[in-house]
Amino acid sequence: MFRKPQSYLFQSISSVLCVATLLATLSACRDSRIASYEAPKEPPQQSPSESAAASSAPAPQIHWRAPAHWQAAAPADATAANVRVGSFTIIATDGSGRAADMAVTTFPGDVGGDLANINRWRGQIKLAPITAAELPSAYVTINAPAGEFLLADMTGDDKRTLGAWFRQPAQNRTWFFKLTGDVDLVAAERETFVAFLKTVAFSDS
Amino acid sequence: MRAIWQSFLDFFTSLKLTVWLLVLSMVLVFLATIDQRELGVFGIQQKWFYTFIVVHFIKGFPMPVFLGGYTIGALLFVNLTAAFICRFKLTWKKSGIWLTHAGLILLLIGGFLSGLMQEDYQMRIREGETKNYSESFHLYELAILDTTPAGHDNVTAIPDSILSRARASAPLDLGDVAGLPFRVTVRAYYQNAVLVRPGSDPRFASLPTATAGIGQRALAVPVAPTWRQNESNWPAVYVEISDPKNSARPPETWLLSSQLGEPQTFDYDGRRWRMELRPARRYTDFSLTLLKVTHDLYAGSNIPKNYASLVLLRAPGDPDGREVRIHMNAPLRHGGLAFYQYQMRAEAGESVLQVVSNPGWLIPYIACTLMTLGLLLQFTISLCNFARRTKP
Repeated sequence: MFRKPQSYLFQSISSVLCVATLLATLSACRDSRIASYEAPKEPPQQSPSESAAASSAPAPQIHWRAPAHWQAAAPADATAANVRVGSFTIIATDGSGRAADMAVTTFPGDVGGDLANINRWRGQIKLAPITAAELPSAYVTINAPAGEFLLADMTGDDKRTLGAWFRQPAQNRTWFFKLTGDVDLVAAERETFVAFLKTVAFSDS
Repeated sequence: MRAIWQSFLDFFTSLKLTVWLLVLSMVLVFLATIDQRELGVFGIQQKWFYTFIVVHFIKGFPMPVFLGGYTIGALLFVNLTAAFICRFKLTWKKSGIWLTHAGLILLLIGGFLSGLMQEDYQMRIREGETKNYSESFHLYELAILDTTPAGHDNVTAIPDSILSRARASAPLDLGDVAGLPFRVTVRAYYQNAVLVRPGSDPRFASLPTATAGIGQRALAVPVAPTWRQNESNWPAVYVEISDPKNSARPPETWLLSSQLGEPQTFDYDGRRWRMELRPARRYTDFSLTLLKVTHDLYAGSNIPKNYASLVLLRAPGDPDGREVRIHMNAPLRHGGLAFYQYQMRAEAGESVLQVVSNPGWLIPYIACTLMTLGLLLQFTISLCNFARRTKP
């Protein structure tokens, strides 16, 4: 004997609702209350230096000459408005749609040091971190008119990153230049990237 | 009434429902796996599995797109249990099937309890350091500390589940919170925010601003939360401290964010206060002291062989404590928590332990044992019957 279709539909919906109501009641039991307690005093924490907004010293002005095929990107969102001093998009000219992103950022201090910075970049392209012993061989030095840039070249499975940084010890500031994107495109742009670094200049703000 | 009950029973005990739910489960896993590319593991767990209905944003509008893991799991549980009670007869011949289904039902209960009750934290600890708390991976809390007492701080912790009720158009007045002599109003809470310089962009002119502390030099701008594996949310909160009984003290709005490097302190009523927005903490009545970290490599290579943390566990009534070695696949279980070796920075003498609270952690083991025994039993019974039938 066959049951009427609407009867079956009614049963399905009402059964699902019964079970869902029961579960919703159970899951509402999660703790979300204001708690008051005593805790032992903690040693003062080292304040992170990765806060451009909190920096009291204004950043110097940076100038560069970018290659014509790098498309300067306007800050499209708040993130870009915050930390990016410069932003470029590079599209492969062969029509394949391959792209790379170039970002210039600056932070007070050394943002955790060279090892932490390189490992953060490596993590972003799914590469294993390196150890302190491997650090000296992880970057090369580029001598430019502005001073000494350090450049790390990292290749992941499907992305490559060229990360360069420039220290200004007197201003307690570090500038970062990161080109990341398609492996072949970034490889093709390596010399342009180094040439770009050599055009960088600073002036007081 | 009896007819309605019978029709419910028929619906829930039907094999057709089981098959449909299994198909839906497979589709759920498939879709969630595809979505994992955008959201990361935690994101898809919350969006696809630990929910009743999967909500997907299409052009900014929330649309229910699929049944969530809770709904499918609960229906499967009800379906199996109903069939188990109404259809299966406990006979020796079917005892293996009976046991296997009991294990499966237990596994579903275990999965549901884990989803509902499991909490994950991390303990970041350096060699020589002692800690009696761990910090949440994803949850935050506003901590207001009275730091005046010499030996300890009086802490009032407000979880982000409460903070997130605040809207810029409707600030959340927390009223008189026990232990606080002033009034706390949450003016805005952003699950993820970036800090920009005030006045840097006219689009942000309508956002709340701070009137006290280092937060005056920054403006928190909400951005979309992220659940990707290698990205973090940076929450921010605007908190107003006021005293309605003291007109001489105007309300002050503070910006708190983990991106602001300095602690936010102020004096009130002759006492020293500190505020911070920090990962939600879970305190324990025992402490761990990290004695030594070990990072072994395979000889002649950089391939990790073993990570291990030697800790001193001090519990109430045992001030001398005992040494425990936590290493890969060998967690420390104590006080209802499991401490797993999670990450390590051996060169800095730092270890990160994953701290898991899951009251139902044993259930999957028991369920799998039951299912294994059930299958073995059923196979043995069938084999014996077959052997008896073929005996000349």
